[in-house]
Amino acid sequence: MIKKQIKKLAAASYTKNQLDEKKVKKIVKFLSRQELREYIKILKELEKGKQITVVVPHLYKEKDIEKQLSGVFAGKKIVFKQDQSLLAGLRVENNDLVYELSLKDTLENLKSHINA
Amino acid sequence: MVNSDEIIKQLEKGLSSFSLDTKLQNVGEVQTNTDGVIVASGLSKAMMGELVSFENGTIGMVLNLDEDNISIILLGEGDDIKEGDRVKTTGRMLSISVSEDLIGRVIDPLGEPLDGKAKPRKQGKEMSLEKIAAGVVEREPVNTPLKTGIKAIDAMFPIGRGQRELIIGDRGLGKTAIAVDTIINQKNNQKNGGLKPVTCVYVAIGQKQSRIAQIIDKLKETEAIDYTIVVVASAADPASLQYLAPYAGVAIAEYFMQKGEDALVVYDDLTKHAWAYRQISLVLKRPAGREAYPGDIFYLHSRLLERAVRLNREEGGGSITALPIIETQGNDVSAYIPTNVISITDGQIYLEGDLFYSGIRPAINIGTSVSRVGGAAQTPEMKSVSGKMKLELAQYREMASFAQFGSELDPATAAQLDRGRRTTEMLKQPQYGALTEALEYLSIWVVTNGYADDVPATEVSRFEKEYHNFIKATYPKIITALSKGSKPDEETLKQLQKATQEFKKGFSV
Repeated sequence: MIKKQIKKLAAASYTKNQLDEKKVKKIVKFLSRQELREYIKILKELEKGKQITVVVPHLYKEKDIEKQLSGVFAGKKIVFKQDQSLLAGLRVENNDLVYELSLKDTLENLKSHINA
Repeated sequence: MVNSDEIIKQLEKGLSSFSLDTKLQNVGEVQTNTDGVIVASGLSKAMMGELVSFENGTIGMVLNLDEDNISIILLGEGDDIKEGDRVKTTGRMLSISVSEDLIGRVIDPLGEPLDGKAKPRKQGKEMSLEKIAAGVVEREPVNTPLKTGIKAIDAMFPIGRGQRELIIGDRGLGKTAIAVDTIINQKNNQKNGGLKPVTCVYVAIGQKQSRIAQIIDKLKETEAIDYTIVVVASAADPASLQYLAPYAGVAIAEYFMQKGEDALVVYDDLTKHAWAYRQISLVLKRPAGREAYPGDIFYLHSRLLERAVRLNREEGGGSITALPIIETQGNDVSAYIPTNVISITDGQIYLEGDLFYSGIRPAINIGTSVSRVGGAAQTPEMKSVSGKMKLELAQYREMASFAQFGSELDPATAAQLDRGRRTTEMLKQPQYGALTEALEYLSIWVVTNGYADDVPATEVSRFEKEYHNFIKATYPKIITALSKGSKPDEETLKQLQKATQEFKKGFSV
């Protein structure tokens, strides 16, 4: 089975924007080991596309952030992650697009800007 | 001691250009790392040719955009890049910072110094490596000579400023020698004035480091380094750098051209450049064509050589002259890369092994070499004397093949053969023995006017040398008159005849 067909299968595994366990179980039966690996990879990517990761230094006022961001990224699940090295601000990861709003990044940019 | 106020001032100056805007980054994940090519997923916003940076600080250039991954060639160390590492876009295209401080330096294609000295402190102008060549409207026909100091070339295959003249031949026949002699000869412009000085860029692609070191030493020894920039991507450097080197060279030359100056770029050599690009293309899994070169190998060289240009006055009047070098295997000019580059350039200087080993050096094959710009790139002075010589040499070649049958020759034919032999002898020239135009004129004039007919062919080079010295010492006025570049007037010619007769009386065979 070629990649394109596996992709179609992965897209068909959803009902109403939710991964359907029944469908997945049905599909998996027909796949070989290698195809299964590809199928899981594509499913993972699809899942990642439905999700926004917000990295914050401290878990604080998450509800407010979530409220604001859900307006911008409609229909996407918002997940919080803690990383103290950011110092302040936050980082929003939308699949392969990253919005850097952290103090750490600004300081690092400043450092390379002065050194250049 | 550095003043603290000054440090603060500099910091403030640097900080004023810093923007606090939030940055949108496009990131990806490394999937595979093979032979200097990284395949990464993500990076959906990456552009063709954009620079990307890895976690370890190495940068790479995007060369393939596929449906769900992109291929990146590494421009530095990539041994420690592993699967799952983050890659991010930088939003920049490849460029090189150029300023006058670069002159006299040896750098790599990314602008990093290789001569052990510090990086130029002054922030230069960022010149893009990939750029579309100047259009038709901005151009002007080639009309100014770029003197090589080599008699045979200046007389028969003149190179003009803004021209692309290919130097082609097997290995070890003196291709680089011609190019380096040309660079060294530009010193005369720097000193004498008249023509604009020429800034030279020597691009070494895929060569042995020992040879590059030799060339740099020679440039230093002759002080040619004072107006030359050397761009090096040696055989030890990754193929990606060898691929970029000529573009870096022409980007540097474009900086000087934009200021209205004249520049000369030597690409030594484009065969190895094609090899490097072939390697990259094969590891990128692009379809291979003839001799396993990719489909865009012609465009690789044509877009590079199209950037050689003579701008018109409204555009500043600058120029870039290109001297690409191609190495053939077994005199085969009909191989893929040689035919490609021959068709792109405005002429070629073809060096031949048979000539080289029979002692004719530079070993230029007069029959197959050509300059498609021709007389437009010659001074009236040189034109006035080279026409006759070209004709005589052509007749000599025809005649010489007949004369081999050994039959009796009539005196006129014998005289023509004799003249041809002496002219060929006169065109011999040792390496690093560049001549000024006045001396070139003297050599050609003396042989085409029959003054060397009674000198044995083996003595012609001694005759030439002593003749030059005699005129320089006894008749400096003639040299001054011939240095102007205009067609010599009657009086100068009369004086020259007189001087030559006087010299011949003193010359003993």
